[in-house]
Amino acid sequence: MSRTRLKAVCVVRRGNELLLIDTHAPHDENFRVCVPVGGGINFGEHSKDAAVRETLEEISAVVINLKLLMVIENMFSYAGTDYHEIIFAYEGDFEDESLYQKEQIQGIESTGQEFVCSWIDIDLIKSEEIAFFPTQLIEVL
Amino acid sequence: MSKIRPKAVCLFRHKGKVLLVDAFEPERQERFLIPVGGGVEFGEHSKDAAVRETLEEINGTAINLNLLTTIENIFLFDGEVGHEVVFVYEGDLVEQALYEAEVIHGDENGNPLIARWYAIEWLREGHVPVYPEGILEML
Repeated sequence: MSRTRLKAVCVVRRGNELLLIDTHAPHDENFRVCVPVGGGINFGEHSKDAAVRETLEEISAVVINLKLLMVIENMFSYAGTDYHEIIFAYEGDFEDESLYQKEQIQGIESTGQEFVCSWIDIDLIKSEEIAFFPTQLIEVL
Repeated sequence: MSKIRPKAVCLFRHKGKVLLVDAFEPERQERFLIPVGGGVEFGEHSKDAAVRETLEEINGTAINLNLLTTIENIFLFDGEVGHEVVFVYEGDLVEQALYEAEVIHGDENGNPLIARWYAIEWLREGHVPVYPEGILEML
């Protein structure tokens, strides 16, 4: 049986922009999709610690001053499989202020998959010009 | 490996009291109190789980549910580490008789369950632990 996945994500703000993984739909390279950095919460781990750890693992950056934005219950189907995620969404600051000067930050998933993070204008997310997941987070941005 | 368990609970208040269920920790021989509620099933919203558990446990109809908080509860029970993510709701009961009952005899997965109304002020004095920690402060 499928099981509910507990996740923690963290967005970093720069003015009216957020640092997000800048990717595309799995089968359509022209369909731009942005998602926060983050991943699974380990058993016995607090979601805030998971958000810090995942950011360190994925983009080698230390985030501080984490503030919980919301807890999202996300149920969806994708490619014939049902998913149920509970997502703790945080906002945080980079400890290393020089990261705010970079236009892109390289990252790597635990699977070895490389990705790029960009600063995305929040208005582009709110106007749905760029697809953003989880959508529930938009209301608190 | 152990897994994180999503739970949904519902607090019901009446005249300065709150409805809680008796529980017992065998290793520390500690009596404690917990809200009505239980596991969130795969694909189920936590609010629906809180309503379903209220029906299953005390045969009550929960309405007007409002999410108070989400608590990450990492604890030791009977020598084992547990990790729960608990959606804490507050709600009302349709059945007035449940508000008047001295003791509510319910069912928890086939085991007898006892729920009672406890004065919130008395609970805040710390006579008996209420878990997950932090819920008394929400009332």
